[in-house]
Amino acid sequence: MKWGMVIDLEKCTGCQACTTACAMENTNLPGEAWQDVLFYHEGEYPTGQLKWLPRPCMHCEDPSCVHVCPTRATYKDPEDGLVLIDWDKCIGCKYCMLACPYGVRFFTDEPARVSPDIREAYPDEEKEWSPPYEMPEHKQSARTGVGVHRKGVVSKCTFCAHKIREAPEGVSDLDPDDPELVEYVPACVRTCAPTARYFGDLDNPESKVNQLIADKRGVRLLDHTGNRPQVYYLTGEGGAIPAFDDKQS
Amino acid sequence: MTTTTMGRRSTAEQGSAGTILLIAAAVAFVAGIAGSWQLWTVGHAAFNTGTDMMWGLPVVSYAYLTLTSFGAALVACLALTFRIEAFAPVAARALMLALAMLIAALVALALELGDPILTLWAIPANMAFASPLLWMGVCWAIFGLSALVLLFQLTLAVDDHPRVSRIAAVGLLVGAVAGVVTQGLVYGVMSMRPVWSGPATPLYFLFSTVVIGFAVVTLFTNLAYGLNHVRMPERLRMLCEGLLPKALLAALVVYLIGFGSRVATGLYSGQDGVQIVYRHMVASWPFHLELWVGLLLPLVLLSIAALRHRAGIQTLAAALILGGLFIGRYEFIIGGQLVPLFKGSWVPGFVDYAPSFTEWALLLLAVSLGVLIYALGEKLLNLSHSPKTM
Repeated sequence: MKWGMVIDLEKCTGCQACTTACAMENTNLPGEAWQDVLFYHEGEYPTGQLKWLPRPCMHCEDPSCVHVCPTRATYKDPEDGLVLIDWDKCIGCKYCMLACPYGVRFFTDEPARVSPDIREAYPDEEKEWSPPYEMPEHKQSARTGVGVHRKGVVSKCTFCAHKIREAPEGVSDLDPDDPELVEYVPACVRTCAPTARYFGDLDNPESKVNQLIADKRGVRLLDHTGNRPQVYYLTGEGGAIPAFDDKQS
Repeated sequence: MTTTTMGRRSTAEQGSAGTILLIAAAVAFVAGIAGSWQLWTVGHAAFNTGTDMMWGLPVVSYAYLTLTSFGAALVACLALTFRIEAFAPVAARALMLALAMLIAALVALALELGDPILTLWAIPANMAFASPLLWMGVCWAIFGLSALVLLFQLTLAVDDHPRVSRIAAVGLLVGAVAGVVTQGLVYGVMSMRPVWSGPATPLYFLFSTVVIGFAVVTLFTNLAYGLNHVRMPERLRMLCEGLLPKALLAALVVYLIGFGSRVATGLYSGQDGVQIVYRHMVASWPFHLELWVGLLLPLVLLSIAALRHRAGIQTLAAALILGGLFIGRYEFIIGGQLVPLFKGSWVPGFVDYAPSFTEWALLLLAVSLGVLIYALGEKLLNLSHSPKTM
């Protein structure tokens, strides 16, 4: 099994509901956006456009973050294809953050991004902070990087490992519209109002995600780096993934 | 390898320079600890590093100090491994510098890491063979152990084990060269960071290391004798007025060629996110300080035959080079992270980063610790011991 995500850029409205749901589900700090929606300007009035690019961790098939980690704290689980962080092994060297081409790893031992510092409002001795709401303790796991992390470690999107790993065996797609499966769907997929996100098994050729990738010519970001993401984007007819243009700076 | 004693230096030979250096380093070390107090109270939030700028001034500090350590060791290797007798008078001092700077680098690194204690067992216990950082640690271990054995043999001379020294001399060379190359690999393998990546990056590190090594040995040898060559033993004086400044000059020229190539390639690169960084860098004042004061001025000073044999000129040139190369290390490491990955339109063109006061204090702490350890070595050991190499 290899869990993967498909994001339809033609449907994404940039509402950031996925970003908010992710932060609530995983009790992230301000700025620790495991899932973010970037926006880009293209063209000028009257033909100017805004374009959206939702950006979770790509859970790559051949992740550079795993290769560079000196303690094997970042690892790829061969059972379900997830790239996770073992906080018990993470030494906070941040090399994985530099090696990630997608900029989706976070180190929150830094000056507060918003004032007041929420870590001071809800302090904790061991963990980064003690949020007023957090997922039940039995669902939190340092071994998989789920829950409120301790100080001095790197964090990132887990594809909501604590949810999808509870899904019934043999399920090929986690459809938020299926009442039997909705509790196992990643928070960003479940909350997406325009249903721009799909989540399923990339190893199953009959899964919905594989059908979308095949029918709508799904593409991956920065394929030249060799990471081979497990997140695919649907760009529509003649569409393209928006990109930063360094000539604008 | 056998050792010969060039005679313990008299108080008149040493002058008061060693004592002044020791006191100054101790004062700077205490100031560094006091200045970095926020690190002990609020942790790494006292740094301006984090999610946007992962490796800031503390990493620059440790990287620079390791290159200094490797560079000093390479100078020692000329005598100890390659048996070039002319460099024998500076071998012990270069070794002491190598060890002192390695310890300082490790301290800087430990204070930068999220969990330095965990590092002690997590790296050896998990053996992540694909990670350049693992191999960097292996090289450091070989290097540090070899330097320790050699320094013991050279200065304390409790027992003369030529075979052990010979093996350690080879270990020192292998550890230093492999250490530099693996440190270059840490950056060179990053295809997603175009300012860093490329097969020439380890070579650039090697060029930097050699020039830093000659500069640091030149600087501290002159300081040890109060900037007065007359106080030096004959063989050391001949080296300092002959081959050493010429070697420093040659290393500087090679580095400048590499530096020029990097900057020119960067300025004309078509690769996304490279040209913009080099344009920004070349337009900044630290770059010009590095180029004109840290590299070209020493080049002129060392190129004039009538000047380069003078202790004061050598000391000045070496100090300027060390400053220039530090700026170069800063520009390289910070420059590689300036363009954020996958930013949206609301993100500014560059990551906004300026080192915090705590980061500067950590630099002071680390550098002064290195100098302090070296100065203690200068006081307690006879760094004038010279190996009999031929």
